[in-house]
Amino acid sequence: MIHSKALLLLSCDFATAWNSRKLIVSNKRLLPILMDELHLSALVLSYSPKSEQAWSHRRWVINMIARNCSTLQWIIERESELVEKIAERSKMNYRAWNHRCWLVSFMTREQVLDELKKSRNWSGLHVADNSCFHYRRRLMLRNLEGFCYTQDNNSSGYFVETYQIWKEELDWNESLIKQYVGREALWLHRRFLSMYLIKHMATHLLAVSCQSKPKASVDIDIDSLMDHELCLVHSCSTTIADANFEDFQAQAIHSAAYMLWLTKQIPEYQGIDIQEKLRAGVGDVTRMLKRSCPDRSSLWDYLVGYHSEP
Amino acid sequence: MAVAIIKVVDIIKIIIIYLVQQPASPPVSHAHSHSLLLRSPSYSHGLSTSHSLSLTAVSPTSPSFLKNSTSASPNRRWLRLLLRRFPTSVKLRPSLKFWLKWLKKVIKFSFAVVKPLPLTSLLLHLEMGELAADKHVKYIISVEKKKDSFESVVMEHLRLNGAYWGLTTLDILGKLDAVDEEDVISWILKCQDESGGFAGNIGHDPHVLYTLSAVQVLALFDKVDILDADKVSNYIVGLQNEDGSFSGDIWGEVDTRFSYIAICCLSILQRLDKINVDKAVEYIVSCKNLDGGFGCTPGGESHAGQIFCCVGALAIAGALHHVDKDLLGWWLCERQVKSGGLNGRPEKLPDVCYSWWVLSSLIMIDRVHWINKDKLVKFILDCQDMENGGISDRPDDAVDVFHTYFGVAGLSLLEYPGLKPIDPAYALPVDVVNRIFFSKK
Repeated sequence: MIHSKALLLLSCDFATAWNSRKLIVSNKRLLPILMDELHLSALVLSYSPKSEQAWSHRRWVINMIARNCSTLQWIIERESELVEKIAERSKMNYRAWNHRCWLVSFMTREQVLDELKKSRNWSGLHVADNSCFHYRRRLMLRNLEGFCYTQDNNSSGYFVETYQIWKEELDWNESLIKQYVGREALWLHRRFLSMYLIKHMATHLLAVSCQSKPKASVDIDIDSLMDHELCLVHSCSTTIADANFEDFQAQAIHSAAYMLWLTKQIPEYQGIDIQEKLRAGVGDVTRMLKRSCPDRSSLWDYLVGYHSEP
Repeated sequence: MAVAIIKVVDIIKIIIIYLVQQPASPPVSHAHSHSLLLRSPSYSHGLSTSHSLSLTAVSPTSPSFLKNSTSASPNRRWLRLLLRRFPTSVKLRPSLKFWLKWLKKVIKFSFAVVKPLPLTSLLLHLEMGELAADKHVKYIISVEKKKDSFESVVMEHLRLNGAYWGLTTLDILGKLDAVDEEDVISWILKCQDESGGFAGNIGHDPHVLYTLSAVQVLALFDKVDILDADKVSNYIVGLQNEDGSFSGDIWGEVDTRFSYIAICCLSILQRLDKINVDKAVEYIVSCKNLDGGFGCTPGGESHAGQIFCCVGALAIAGALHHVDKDLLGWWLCERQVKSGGLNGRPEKLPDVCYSWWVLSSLIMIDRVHWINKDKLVKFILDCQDMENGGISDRPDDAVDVFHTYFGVAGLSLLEYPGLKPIDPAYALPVDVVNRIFFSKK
């Protein structure tokens, strides 16, 4: 054990050393020993945060703990905090965020909502970090999954809460977009949020409203949503005030691409007038894209031309 | 009038490009597209049909002049291309017609007489840079020989991967004979574990990552048959889980990379039927995200490297219809940044290794025309170390074998002259892949 420790401190991806530790630990399976392994891997990750073997070793240890002991929830919270600390120093660390997403599958609904609240401030300070927004998407999807499984009396209340969370996220995203000009990660997050809201939540509303109380507080009007999005896109693309700053140009391109993407994803059955509005929008969008990024005009033609799959 | 002038400028450009090109190289680009097009129907219909396709190998959609001049020299071909592109039946003013005819006579004459001029080549290459192939070969050989340097000791556990990167690069540059084949093969065989899998180096634990590299290197030397294919395939088959995913080794870590490795390796060993391919495909499809990309596990963030593994695996398994090609193509083409390089995820810096992963994925889903290829070529060439050889991840960074391989492989996919064509799914030269599947043994 001592030799492998020394070796790993020198060459953190030395898989054979990690494996020999796993072999020894799997014979004993006591919590203190497993916690020791977590300490060692945390130490290794502190100077080598992208070490795939170290993350994989942590997952193996947590799986062992999950099988034998019941302190899992507390360990998951600590793991989540550890990842956030490491992500602070090593931006968009794929392995670290992947580990955090892996933890989500062990979380209860309360933990998921808690994580959403806790990570919001951090995400607001790291708007160029696509991985942290992906983590939020993972949490929100997990929350939605939970809703699908609880089809009972509480479902409408659950649904209202989920819808509120989604709407809040959209509003918060909009404020960030206006504050931090030209950040691709924010626009990609918005793509996911709007698409999911329009495609999936609308159908759920139909399913839920048949049984429960009046849905006055939860009025998902697709029409007004699209109007709002169109307004946002227009406001972002017309502020090409200063061509010297790349950010404004990037904002224009991203907003136009977002609109284009949305038009491809909205299903046909949502209503004819929406399609009309969008088609009018697409014409503007193509012009916008070609004006702001003329050297990729052939790409915009291809993208406008393709038909999305149903 | 303007149109005619543009055509004249085009002619001059073609003359210069012709003069600058190495006359000795065979028409590499056509072979490359030839094999790829042979492959592309097979990607959707499964490998079994590709055998019949090869036997009735019809010339693909390359320029028509190729059909007529299979035995003619490259010179004649370019001439025919030129003449065909600018037929004199074009409606031009009579004076211009006369000038064009005269220009064609000049071109014919110059093709016959003039040899490649150093000055014109210098002028063109100054603009785009040049692939310092010899320097890269020297660099790779020096890395292979230096077993005691700090870098090689720290990378000791993945030496087999390093061998694959270095040797495939040498093969693409046409210099595989620069290494001692016997030496390499005997060392690889020593890396094999009793379970059938290969380890990164002698005495280390086995893992699928090194197993694939071992099989690929043996394929380069056409020595796959010295392996006990059943033993190796049993090792891999034993790592498939119930949900169709693959573990990397006995310790159970699951990742779509390992699915690609399993499918690719078993395909080269021609034992693909030993695993549950449908389940494996099902697992890969479950890792598809809303943006069209793939992560390392279901719900994982889309990453260009993972996308390459998933798309490659689906291509080899004949299941590319599961991919939403337009959506994924969109995500992939957004990876190109202003400098022309490609990044792996949104908001990241460009890196040469993604020029392979993104590019090969685009080629497999037939959307490569959505990126600007010339800018990408320029980016890769800028990342070379022109003095000592090797390619780095970004211009002016330190070089390593990993990025050298991906840079050269990317250039090969972009049909850079003088390089052997490479198969985007197997990541091996096309002639090696053809040898495995199409030669009767």
